[in-house]
Amino acid sequence: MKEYKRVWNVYAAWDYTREIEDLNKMSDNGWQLIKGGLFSNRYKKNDSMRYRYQLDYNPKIEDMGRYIETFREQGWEYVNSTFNGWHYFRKLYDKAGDDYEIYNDSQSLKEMHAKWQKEGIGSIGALSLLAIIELYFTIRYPRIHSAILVLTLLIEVFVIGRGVYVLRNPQRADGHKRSWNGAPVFLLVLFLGLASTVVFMSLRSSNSFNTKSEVYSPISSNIANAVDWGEVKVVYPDFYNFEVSGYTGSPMTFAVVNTQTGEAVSQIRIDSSKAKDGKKFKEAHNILLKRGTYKLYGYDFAGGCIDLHVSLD
Amino acid sequence: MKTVKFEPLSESYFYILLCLSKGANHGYGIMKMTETLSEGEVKIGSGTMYGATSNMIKKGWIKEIVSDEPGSEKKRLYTLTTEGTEAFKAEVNRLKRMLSAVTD
Repeated sequence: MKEYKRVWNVYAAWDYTREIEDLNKMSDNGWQLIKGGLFSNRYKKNDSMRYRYQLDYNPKIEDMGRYIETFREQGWEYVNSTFNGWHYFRKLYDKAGDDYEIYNDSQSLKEMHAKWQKEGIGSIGALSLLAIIELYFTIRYPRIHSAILVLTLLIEVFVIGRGVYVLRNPQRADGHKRSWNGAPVFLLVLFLGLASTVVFMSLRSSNSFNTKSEVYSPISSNIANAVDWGEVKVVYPDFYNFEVSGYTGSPMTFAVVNTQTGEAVSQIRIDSSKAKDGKKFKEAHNILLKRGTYKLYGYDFAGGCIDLHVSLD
Repeated sequence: MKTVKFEPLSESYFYILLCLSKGANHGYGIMKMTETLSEGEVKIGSGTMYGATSNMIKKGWIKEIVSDEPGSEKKRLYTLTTEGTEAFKAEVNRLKRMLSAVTD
Protein backbone atom coordinates (compact mmCIF):
# COMPACT_ATOMS: atom_id res chain seq x y z
CA MET A 1 0.00 0.00 0.00
CA LYS A 2 1.43 3.38 -0.99
CA GLU A 3 2.46 5.65 1.84
CA TYR A 4 2.19 8.99 0.00
CA LYS A 5 -0.17 10.18 -2.64
CA ARG A 6 -0.53 13.34 -4.71
CA VAL A 7 -3.99 14.26 -5.95
CA TRP A 8 -4.34 16.79 -8.76
CA ASN A 9 -7.29 19.08 -8.44
CA VAL A 10 -8.17 22.70 -8.69
CA TYR A 11 -10.74 24.68 -6.76
CA ALA A 12 -12.18 28.09 -7.48
CA ALA A 13 -11.48 30.53 -4.65
CA TRP A 14 -15.19 31.02 -3.95
CA ASP A 15 -15.62 27.27 -3.80
CA TYR A 16 -13.08 26.73 -1.04
CA THR A 17 -15.61 24.91 1.15
CA ARG A 18 -15.68 22.18 -1.49
CA GLU A 19 -11.97 21.63 -0.92
CA ILE A 20 -12.56 21.46 2.84
CA GLU A 21 -15.19 18.76 2.30
CA ASP A 22 -12.81 16.79 0.06
CA LEU A 23 -9.99 17.03 2.62
CA ASN A 24 -12.32 15.76 5.34
CA LYS A 25 -13.41 12.86 3.13
CA MET A 26 -9.80 11.95 2.37
CA SER A 27 -9.04 11.98 6.08
CA ASP A 28 -11.95 9.62 6.76
CA ASN A 29 -10.38 7.29 4.19
CA GLY A 30 -7.05 7.38 5.98
CA TRP A 31 -5.28 9.96 3.80
CA GLN A 32 -3.99 12.90 5.82
CA LEU A 33 -2.99 16.14 4.13
CA ILE A 34 0.66 17.07 4.48
CA LYS A 35 0.80 19.86 1.93
CA GLY A 36 -1.99 21.76 0.27
CA GLY A 37 -1.49 23.59 -2.99
CA LEU A 38 -3.22 25.34 -5.86
CA PHE A 39 -3.23 22.44 -8.31
CA SER A 40 -2.47 19.43 -6.16
CA ASN A 41 -2.56 18.24 -2.59
CA ARG A 42 -0.12 15.79 -1.05
CA TYR A 43 -1.31 13.16 1.42
CA LYS A 44 0.23 10.61 3.75
CA LYS A 45 -1.48 7.35 4.64
CA ASN A 46 -2.43 7.13 8.29
CA ASP A 47 -5.52 5.15 9.21
CA SER A 48 -5.24 5.77 12.93
CA MET A 49 -6.09 9.49 12.75
CA ARG A 50 -9.09 11.47 11.71
CA TYR A 51 -8.99 15.20 11.14
CA ARG A 52 -11.26 18.03 10.25
CA TYR A 53 -9.76 20.68 7.98
CA GLN A 54 -10.15 24.40 7.56
CA LEU A 55 -8.98 26.89 4.97
CA ASP A 56 -8.39 30.53 5.78
CA TYR A 57 -7.74 33.26 3.24
CA ASN A 58 -5.37 35.90 4.54
CA PRO A 59 -2.78 37.16 2.06
CA LYS A 60 -1.31 39.89 4.24
CA ILE A 61 -0.23 38.42 7.53
CA GLU A 62 2.46 40.49 9.18
CA ASP A 63 2.88 38.40 12.27
CA MET A 64 2.82 34.75 11.24
CA GLY A 65 3.72 33.68 14.76
CA ARG A 66 0.67 35.31 16.30
CA TYR A 67 -1.52 33.99 13.48
CA ILE A 68 -0.48 30.36 13.94
CA GLU A 69 -0.65 30.68 17.74
CA THR A 70 -4.22 32.01 17.55
CA PHE A 71 -5.17 28.80 15.81
CA ARG A 72 -2.95 26.45 17.77
CA GLU A 73 -4.44 27.51 21.10
CA GLN A 74 -7.86 26.33 19.92
CA GLY A 75 -6.55 22.98 18.74
CA TRP A 76 -5.85 23.82 15.10
CA GLU A 77 -2.61 22.40 13.74
CA TYR A 78 -1.04 24.50 11.00
CA VAL A 79 -0.37 22.49 7.85
CA ASN A 80 1.00 24.95 5.27
CA SER A 81 0.28 28.08 3.23
CA THR A 82 0.00 28.63 -0.50
CA PHE A 83 1.93 31.47 -2.09
CA ASN A 84 -1.25 33.42 -2.77
CA GLY A 85 -2.52 33.56 0.80
CA TRP A 86 -4.52 30.42 1.60
CA HIS A 87 -3.68 28.64 4.86
CA TYR A 88 -4.47 25.03 5.71
CA PHE A 89 -5.31 23.95 9.26
CA ARG A 90 -6.46 20.68 10.78
CA LYS A 91 -7.90 19.54 14.09
CA LEU A 92 -8.23 16.06 15.48
CA TYR A 93 -11.72 14.80 14.91
CA ASP A 94 -13.58 13.96 18.07
CA LYS A 95 -17.05 12.56 17.44
CA ALA A 96 -18.24 14.09 20.70
CA GLY A 97 -18.60 17.18 18.56
CA ASP A 98 -16.20 20.01 19.04
CA ASP A 99 -16.41 23.18 17.03
CA TYR A 100 -14.76 22.80 13.65
CA GLU A 101 -15.49 26.28 12.39
CA ILE A 102 -12.97 29.09 12.53
CA TYR A 103 -15.47 31.87 11.86
CA ASN A 104 -18.41 31.95 14.22
CA ASP A 105 -20.14 35.14 13.21
CA SER A 106 -21.27 36.21 9.78
CA GLN A 107 -19.49 39.54 9.98
CA SER A 108 -16.01 38.11 10.44
CA LEU A 109 -16.69 35.48 7.78
CA LYS A 110 -17.81 38.21 5.39
CA GLU A 111 -14.62 40.11 6.17
CA MET A 112 -12.55 37.07 5.21
CA HIS A 113 -14.51 36.69 1.98
CA ALA A 114 -14.09 40.39 1.28
CA LYS A 115 -10.32 39.93 1.29
CA TRP A 116 -10.58 37.57 -1.66
CA GLN A 117 -13.36 39.54 -3.32
CA LYS A 118 -11.04 42.52 -3.46
CA GLU A 119 -8.53 40.47 -5.47
CA GLY A 120 -11.34 39.10 -7.60
CA ILE A 121 -12.61 42.55 -8.46
CA GLY A 122 -9.07 43.67 -9.24
CA SER A 123 -8.67 40.82 -11.72
CA ILE A 124 -12.06 41.54 -13.24
CA GLY A 125 -10.99 45.14 -13.78
CA ALA A 126 -7.72 44.19 -15.44
CA LEU A 127 -9.31 41.51 -17.62
CA SER A 128 -12.17 43.79 -18.63
CA LEU A 129 -9.69 46.44 -19.69
CA LEU A 130 -7.83 43.87 -21.78
CA ALA A 131 -11.10 42.64 -23.26
CA ILE A 132 -12.15 46.16 -24.23
CA ILE A 133 -8.81 46.91 -25.85
CA GLU A 134 -8.89 43.63 -27.75
CA LEU A 135 -12.53 44.23 -28.72
CA TYR A 136 -11.54 47.55 -30.25
CA PHE A 137 -8.88 45.82 -32.34
CA THR A 138 -11.28 43.07 -33.35
CA ILE A 139 -13.76 45.62 -34.64
CA ARG A 140 -11.10 47.68 -36.37
CA TYR A 141 -9.23 44.70 -37.83
CA PRO A 142 -11.51 41.66 -37.70
CA ARG A 143 -9.39 38.58 -37.07
CA ILE A 144 -10.37 35.14 -35.82
CA HIS A 145 -7.69 35.04 -33.13
CA SER A 146 -8.72 38.47 -31.89
CA ALA A 147 -12.34 37.41 -31.59
CA ILE A 148 -11.38 34.22 -29.73
CA LEU A 149 -9.27 36.23 -27.28
CA VAL A 150 -12.11 38.68 -26.59
CA LEU A 151 -14.52 35.80 -26.03
CA THR A 152 -12.11 34.02 -23.69
CA LEU A 153 -11.50 37.18 -21.66
CA LEU A 154 -15.24 37.89 -21.40
CA ILE A 155 -15.94 34.33 -20.21
CA GLU A 156 -13.24 34.74 -17.53
CA VAL A 157 -14.67 38.06 -16.41
CA PHE A 158 -18.12 36.51 -16.14
CA VAL A 159 -16.96 33.46 -14.17
CA ILE A 160 -14.89 35.47 -11.69
CA GLY A 161 -17.67 38.01 -11.39
CA ARG A 162 -20.13 35.26 -10.59
CA GLY A 163 -17.67 33.90 -8.03
CA VAL A 164 -17.42 37.28 -6.30
CA TYR A 165 -21.23 37.40 -6.21
CA VAL A 166 -21.56 33.81 -4.94
CA LEU A 167 -19.23 34.52 -2.03
CA ARG A 168 -21.76 37.04 -0.75
CA ASN A 169 -23.68 34.12 0.70
CA PRO A 170 -21.37 32.55 3.28
CA GLN A 171 -21.40 28.78 3.03
CA ARG A 172 -20.40 26.30 5.68
CA ALA A 173 -18.46 23.16 4.94
CA ASP A 174 -21.02 20.75 6.29
CA GLY A 175 -21.78 18.61 3.31
CA HIS A 176 -24.89 20.01 1.75
CA LYS A 177 -25.54 18.94 -1.82
CA ARG A 178 -23.01 20.28 -4.30
CA SER A 179 -23.06 20.52 -8.02
CA TRP A 180 -20.01 19.57 -10.06
CA ASN A 181 -16.73 21.41 -9.63
CA GLY A 182 -16.55 24.04 -12.34
CA ALA A 183 -12.96 25.07 -11.74
CA PRO A 184 -11.19 22.41 -13.88
CA VAL A 185 -13.66 22.98 -16.72
CA PHE A 186 -13.14 26.72 -16.51
CA LEU A 187 -9.37 26.30 -16.59
CA LEU A 188 -9.67 23.97 -19.57
CA VAL A 189 -11.79 26.50 -21.45
CA LEU A 190 -9.30 29.23 -20.58
CA PHE A 191 -6.37 27.12 -21.76
CA LEU A 192 -8.14 26.16 -25.00
CA GLY A 193 -9.07 29.79 -25.61
CA LEU A 194 -5.53 31.08 -25.14
CA ALA A 195 -3.97 28.13 -26.99
CA SER A 196 -6.25 28.50 -30.00
CA THR A 197 -5.60 32.25 -30.05
CA VAL A 198 -1.87 31.58 -30.23
CA VAL A 199 -2.28 28.80 -32.80
CA PHE A 200 -4.46 30.94 -35.07
CA MET A 201 -2.06 33.84 -34.72
CA SER A 202 0.94 31.75 -35.70
CA LEU A 203 -0.90 29.98 -38.52
CA ARG A 204 -1.99 33.28 -39.93
CA SER A 205 0.20 34.13 -42.85
CA SER A 206 3.09 36.41 -42.17
CA ASN A 207 2.52 40.02 -43.02
CA SER A 208 3.42 41.32 -46.39
CA PHE A 209 4.56 44.86 -45.82
CA ASN A 210 6.34 46.38 -48.69
CA THR A 211 7.55 49.89 -49.25
CA LYS A 212 9.09 50.77 -52.56
CA SER A 213 10.54 54.11 -53.57
CA GLU A 214 11.51 53.80 -57.21
CA VAL A 215 11.02 55.01 -60.72
CA TYR A 216 8.97 52.79 -62.98
CA SER A 217 8.44 52.81 -66.68
CA PRO A 218 4.84 52.50 -67.82
CA ILE A 219 3.03 49.26 -67.03
CA SER A 220 0.10 48.14 -69.14
CA SER A 221 -3.27 47.25 -67.74
CA ASN A 222 -2.51 43.62 -68.48
CA ILE A 223 -1.88 41.85 -65.22
CA ALA A 224 0.58 39.53 -66.89
CA ASN A 225 3.09 42.40 -66.93
CA ALA A 226 2.30 43.65 -63.46
CA VAL A 227 4.86 44.46 -60.78
CA ASP A 228 4.96 41.68 -58.22
CA TRP A 229 4.70 43.25 -54.80
CA GLY A 230 4.62 40.11 -52.72
CA GLU A 231 2.78 36.92 -51.88
CA VAL A 232 0.59 35.87 -48.98
CA LYS A 233 -0.37 32.27 -48.15
CA VAL A 234 -3.72 31.99 -46.36
CA VAL A 235 -4.13 28.80 -44.29
CA TYR A 236 -7.60 29.42 -42.86
CA PRO A 237 -10.30 31.88 -43.95
CA ASP A 238 -10.05 35.18 -42.15
CA PHE A 239 -10.32 38.92 -42.69
CA TYR A 240 -7.30 40.74 -44.03
CA ASN A 241 -6.57 44.42 -44.36
CA PHE A 242 -5.48 45.43 -47.85
CA GLU A 243 -3.97 48.90 -47.79
CA VAL A 244 -2.17 51.19 -50.21
CA SER A 245 -0.70 54.53 -49.17
CA GLY A 246 1.87 57.00 -50.42
CA TYR A 247 2.62 58.99 -53.57
CA THR A 248 2.80 58.22 -57.28
CA GLY A 249 3.74 60.29 -60.29
CA SER A 250 0.59 59.08 -61.99
CA PRO A 251 -2.29 56.79 -61.01
CA MET A 252 -1.63 53.08 -60.49
CA THR A 253 -3.83 50.09 -59.72
CA PHE A 254 -3.11 47.44 -57.12
CA ALA A 255 -4.89 44.15 -56.88
CA VAL A 256 -4.99 41.13 -54.60
CA VAL A 257 -5.21 38.13 -56.87
CA ASN A 258 -5.97 34.52 -55.96
CA THR A 259 -3.24 32.60 -57.80
CA GLN A 260 -5.37 29.43 -58.09
CA THR A 261 -8.49 31.02 -59.53
CA GLY A 262 -6.90 34.09 -61.07
CA GLU A 263 -9.67 36.16 -59.49
CA ALA A 264 -8.83 39.71 -58.41
CA VAL A 265 -10.36 39.72 -54.95
CA SER A 266 -9.84 43.42 -54.35
CA GLN A 267 -8.50 46.44 -56.17
CA ILE A 268 -7.29 49.86 -55.16
CA ARG A 269 -6.45 52.55 -57.65
CA ILE A 270 -4.08 55.06 -56.16
CA ASP A 271 -4.39 58.54 -57.51
CA SER A 272 -2.26 61.08 -55.63
CA SER A 273 -4.05 63.99 -57.22
CA LYS A 274 -7.14 62.81 -55.39
CA ALA A 275 -5.32 63.04 -52.07
CA LYS A 276 -6.07 66.17 -50.06
CA ASP A 277 -3.34 68.84 -50.01
CA GLY A 278 -0.28 67.71 -48.15
CA LYS A 279 -1.80 64.46 -47.02
CA LYS A 280 -0.70 61.33 -48.76
CA PHE A 281 -3.17 59.05 -50.47
CA LYS A 282 -4.43 56.15 -48.39
CA GLU A 283 -7.08 53.56 -49.06
CA ALA A 284 -7.81 50.34 -47.27
CA HIS A 285 -10.20 47.47 -47.88
CA ASN A 286 -11.17 44.84 -45.39
CA ILE A 287 -11.47 41.57 -47.32
CA LEU A 288 -12.32 38.00 -46.41
CA LEU A 289 -9.75 35.68 -47.92
CA LYS A 290 -10.39 32.00 -48.34
CA ARG A 291 -7.68 29.38 -48.10
CA GLY A 292 -5.12 29.79 -50.89
CA THR A 293 -2.18 31.79 -52.19
CA TYR A 294 -2.58 35.45 -53.09
CA LYS A 295 -0.31 37.84 -54.93
CA LEU A 296 -0.14 41.62 -54.73
CA TYR A 297 0.12 43.15 -58.19
CA GLY A 298 0.69 46.71 -59.34
CA TYR A 299 -0.21 47.68 -62.93
CA ASP A 300 -1.92 50.16 -65.27
CA PHE A 301 0.68 52.85 -64.67
CA ALA A 302 1.68 55.71 -66.96
CA GLY A 303 5.20 55.78 -65.52
CA GLY A 304 7.10 57.94 -63.07
CA CYS A 305 8.26 58.00 -59.47
CA ILE A 306 6.51 56.07 -56.79
CA ASP A 307 6.88 56.05 -53.02
CA LEU A 308 4.35 53.54 -51.86
CA HIS A 309 3.51 51.30 -49.00
CA VAL A 310 1.34 48.34 -49.95
CA SER A 311 0.32 45.77 -47.37
CA LEU A 312 -1.92 42.76 -46.90
CA ASP A 313 -2.10 41.70 -43.26
CA MET B 1 -8.56 67.30 20.90
CA LYS B 2 -9.26 63.69 20.31
CA THR B 3 -12.79 62.48 19.77
CA VAL B 4 -13.56 58.84 20.38
CA LYS B 5 -15.10 57.45 17.22
CA PHE B 6 -18.46 55.92 17.87
CA GLU B 7 -19.41 52.67 16.15
CA PRO B 8 -21.57 49.74 17.23
CA LEU B 9 -19.52 46.63 18.00
CA SER B 10 -20.23 43.06 16.98
CA GLU B 11 -20.71 40.56 19.75
CA SER B 12 -17.22 39.11 19.28
CA TYR B 13 -15.60 42.52 19.57
CA PHE B 14 -17.70 43.40 22.59
CA TYR B 15 -16.78 40.26 24.47
CA ILE B 16 -13.09 40.55 23.60
CA LEU B 17 -13.01 44.08 25.03
CA LEU B 18 -15.09 43.00 28.02
CA CYS B 19 -12.68 40.17 28.82
CA LEU B 20 -9.64 42.39 28.43
CA SER B 21 -11.22 45.05 30.65
CA LYS B 22 -10.91 42.49 33.41
CA GLY B 23 -7.21 42.09 32.79
CA ALA B 24 -4.66 41.11 30.17
CA ASN B 25 -5.35 37.75 28.54
CA HIS B 26 -4.41 35.53 25.61
CA GLY B 27 -6.72 34.39 22.81
CA TYR B 28 -7.70 31.09 24.40
CA GLY B 29 -8.46 32.75 27.72
CA ILE B 30 -10.62 35.34 25.98
CA MET B 31 -12.46 32.62 24.09
CA LYS B 32 -13.17 30.63 27.25
CA MET B 33 -14.21 33.65 29.28
CA THR B 34 -16.54 34.75 26.49
CA GLU B 35 -18.21 31.35 26.47
CA THR B 36 -18.78 31.57 30.21
CA LEU B 37 -19.95 35.18 30.29
CA SER B 38 -22.31 34.67 27.37
CA GLU B 39 -23.69 31.48 28.91
CA GLY B 40 -22.48 29.42 25.97
CA GLU B 41 -24.11 31.62 23.36
CA VAL B 42 -21.06 33.33 21.92
CA LYS B 43 -18.07 31.41 20.62
CA ILE B 44 -15.05 33.10 19.05
CA GLY B 45 -13.30 30.87 16.54
CA SER B 46 -9.65 31.32 15.61
CA GLY B 47 -10.43 33.03 12.32
CA THR B 48 -12.76 35.49 14.00
CA MET B 49 -10.28 35.99 16.85
CA TYR B 50 -7.34 36.76 14.61
CA GLY B 51 -9.39 39.12 12.46
CA ALA B 52 -10.77 40.95 15.46
CA THR B 53 -7.49 41.27 17.33
CA SER B 54 -5.69 42.42 14.17
CA ASN B 55 -8.33 45.09 13.61
CA MET B 56 -8.22 46.24 17.20
CA ILE B 57 -4.44 46.42 17.20
CA LYS B 58 -4.65 48.56 14.06
CA LYS B 59 -7.26 50.80 15.69
CA GLY B 60 -5.05 51.16 18.72
CA TRP B 61 -7.59 49.64 21.10
CA ILE B 62 -5.43 46.73 22.22
CA LYS B 63 -1.77 45.85 22.14
CA GLU B 64 0.34 42.76 22.60
CA ILE B 65 2.59 42.32 25.59
CA VAL B 66 4.77 39.44 26.64
CA SER B 67 3.97 38.01 30.01
CA ASP B 68 6.87 38.01 32.40
CA GLU B 69 5.16 36.09 35.14
CA PRO B 70 7.68 33.90 36.85
CA GLY B 71 7.29 30.24 36.00
CA SER B 72 5.06 30.64 32.94
CA GLU B 73 6.60 30.45 29.48
CA LYS B 74 6.84 33.81 27.69
CA LYS B 75 3.21 33.98 26.63
CA ARG B 76 1.72 36.60 24.31
CA LEU B 77 -1.02 38.56 26.00
CA TYR B 78 -3.40 41.20 24.76
CA THR B 79 -4.16 44.22 26.87
CA LEU B 80 -6.50 47.20 26.53
CA THR B 81 -5.07 50.60 25.72
CA THR B 82 -6.61 53.87 26.89
CA GLU B 83 -8.39 54.28 23.58
CA GLY B 84 -9.68 50.75 23.83
CA THR B 85 -10.98 51.35 27.33
CA GLU B 86 -12.72 54.51 26.16
CA ALA B 87 -14.24 52.74 23.16
CA PHE B 88 -15.51 49.95 25.41
CA LYS B 89 -16.98 52.39 27.94
CA ALA B 90 -18.74 54.26 25.13
CA GLU B 91 -20.23 51.01 23.85
CA VAL B 92 -21.39 49.95 27.31
CA ASN B 93 -23.07 53.33 27.80
CA ARG B 94 -24.69 53.04 24.39
CA LEU B 95 -26.10 49.62 25.21
CA LYS B 96 -27.24 50.75 28.68
CA ARG B 97 -29.03 53.69 27.11
CA MET B 98 -30.77 51.43 24.62
CA LEU B 99 -31.81 48.88 27.22
CA SER B 100 -33.09 51.46 29.68
CA ALA B 101 -35.60 52.55 27.05
CA VAL B 102 -37.07 49.05 26.97
CA THR B 103 -40.01 48.75 29.33
CA ASP B 104 -41.25 45.24 29.61
